[in-house]
Amino acid sequence: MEIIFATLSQLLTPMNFLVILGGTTAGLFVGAMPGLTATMALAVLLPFTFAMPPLQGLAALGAVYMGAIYGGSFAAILVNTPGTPSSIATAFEGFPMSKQGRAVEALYVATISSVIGGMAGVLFLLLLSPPLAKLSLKFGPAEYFWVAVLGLTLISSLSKGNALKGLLGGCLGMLLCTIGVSPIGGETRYTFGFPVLQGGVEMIVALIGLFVIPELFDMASKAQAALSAVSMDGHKPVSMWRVIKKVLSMPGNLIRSCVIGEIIAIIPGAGGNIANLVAYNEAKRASKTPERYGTGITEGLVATESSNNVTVAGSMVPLLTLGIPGAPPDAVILGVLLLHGLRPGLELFTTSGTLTYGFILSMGLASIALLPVGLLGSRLIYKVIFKTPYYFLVPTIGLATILGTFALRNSITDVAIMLILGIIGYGLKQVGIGAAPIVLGLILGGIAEMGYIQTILRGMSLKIPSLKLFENPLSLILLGMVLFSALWPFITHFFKKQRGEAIA
Amino acid sequence: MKNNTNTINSDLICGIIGLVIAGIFWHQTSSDISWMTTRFPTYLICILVLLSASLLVKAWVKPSRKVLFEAKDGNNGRIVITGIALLVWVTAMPWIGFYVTSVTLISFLIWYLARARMQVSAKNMCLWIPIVAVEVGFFYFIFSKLLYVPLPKGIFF
Repeated sequence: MEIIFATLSQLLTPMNFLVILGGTTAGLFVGAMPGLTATMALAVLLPFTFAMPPLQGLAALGAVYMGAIYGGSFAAILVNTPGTPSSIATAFEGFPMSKQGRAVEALYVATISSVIGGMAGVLFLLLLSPPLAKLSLKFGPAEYFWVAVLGLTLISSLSKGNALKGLLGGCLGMLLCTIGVSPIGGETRYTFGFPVLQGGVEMIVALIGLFVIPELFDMASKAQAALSAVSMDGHKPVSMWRVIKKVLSMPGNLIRSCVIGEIIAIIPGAGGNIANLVAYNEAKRASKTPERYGTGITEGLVATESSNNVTVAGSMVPLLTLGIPGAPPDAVILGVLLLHGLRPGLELFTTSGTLTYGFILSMGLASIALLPVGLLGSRLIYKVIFKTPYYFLVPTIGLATILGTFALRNSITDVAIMLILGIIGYGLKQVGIGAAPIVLGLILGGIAEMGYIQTILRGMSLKIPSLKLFENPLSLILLGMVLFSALWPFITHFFKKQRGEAIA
Repeated sequence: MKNNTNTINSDLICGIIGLVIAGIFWHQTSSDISWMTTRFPTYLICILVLLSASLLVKAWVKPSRKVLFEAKDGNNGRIVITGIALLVWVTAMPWIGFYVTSVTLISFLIWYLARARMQVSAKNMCLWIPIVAVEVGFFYFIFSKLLYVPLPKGIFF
């Protein structure tokens, strides 16, 4: 508790407030533009944090993340196009509300639900991280290996109908991670005759390329004119207090959606994109009037917007404790942590406690900042975003992407690698291999390799060194989870088939 | 099974891509280095081959079909030109300089992409180029003067 108060005194400075407000606003702008994801927002705005002290930089990124996830609701409500995948279900209720002349009410509901969700995520993070970080002390190399494998198998079970392609993407990412100097052994491998590859593929470079460039190509291809949104002018004025009371009058919905968001956030690879759909579906199932869903009711909007904002801080639980990103945007945060020499685990909560708790609390402040930024700036954001022509947007994002990548290591080679990976990523996306499994493979590859080789080295005295991977009860539990998650898509497929045959 | 000419068997393509990549990495796996360096990637290559083979079997038994480069009201030509422009941008930057290359390439992209939806006149360009110059100048100032990033200077700046 003392550390939290000590952190607060460092965090509550006018400059930090400004940074959090600025980050939330910037994230909101990017997130509100359809096609631009929270990962993209973080990747593009990352270099702006380089000149900041570590806590301020992390607070800015947390604020950008929070703002971007919330910003996705703007486009979903006003254009019927989710700004980010985390707002897919928001469009189901938000857009019908806009068409009924209730756009302002929908934006208020989304804002208040997002604030509640964001705060709940921070609370979950504060409560769950320290015990999990302590548990991580029991993790040896073998357990880390299985955690990394579990992350990959979860990707496959979450890649709906594309389990094999999800795994293939993860495997490609892991192979990409092996380029350069090996972590144990120190020998150079897979440089393909290019000495520049000796340093390996920088994670953030790959992340920017794989997430941003394909979206840029899609925008260029579609060449959409400035988005035609439902106008906010002439909409019914709404009392803010009435909306707050209305949202708070559904505690069951809020609690259920926040818990769903947190559970999904902890699963590596899953994030707001899945949480909002599951929460919406569960709210509909629990409703006494499910037939009204899709016609513009606030319950659905509350469920989606609270659950997706829980995932922002919630997905940091596996990241800060085990070093495994809960969602793709967390990969950028992990990159920044490593850039500042911070390694996930218990040390992050003890030696670097002030910084870590500062970062967590800054996300709470960012979620509160959504209130003034979203409510006061909504009309300005509406005007800027929906009047900006695509032909200015595409090259501007290109410029920010190139600059951001270059600024990482002042290397033009990194920019070239980013572009090449982006082009390859676009091609792979066309055949059904998404960027998320590749990036997660790239992150988990290093953890898996270190865990595997260290375990084998420790088991050299055994007749079969690999048996060391199955020695501890914790390893066996994790192995069980790996098998369950790997077989889950096939089990559900089997039961669906059985049910189908029974109905026929 | 839907099998029109516009769709491709995406499982088959993924399987082939997986096998090609596995082959490239296998070819690069040297026997001169220690097992600590090669064992993990070798296992990965084996898993990649297994997954690719499974996708090839699926492509034969129950293929997923997909429209390649599917874009509603989209134009694949614009993807190619945007991609080439980005590559030229990055290649020319160290020679010509960050500011001049960026203003030139952004102005070109704006002109090219705007043509998809409107008639671009010389008057439009006379208005847009100064906006681009100011925009790039803003980024140049932030990165080189505030963040101290040594942006490529080239023959201009």
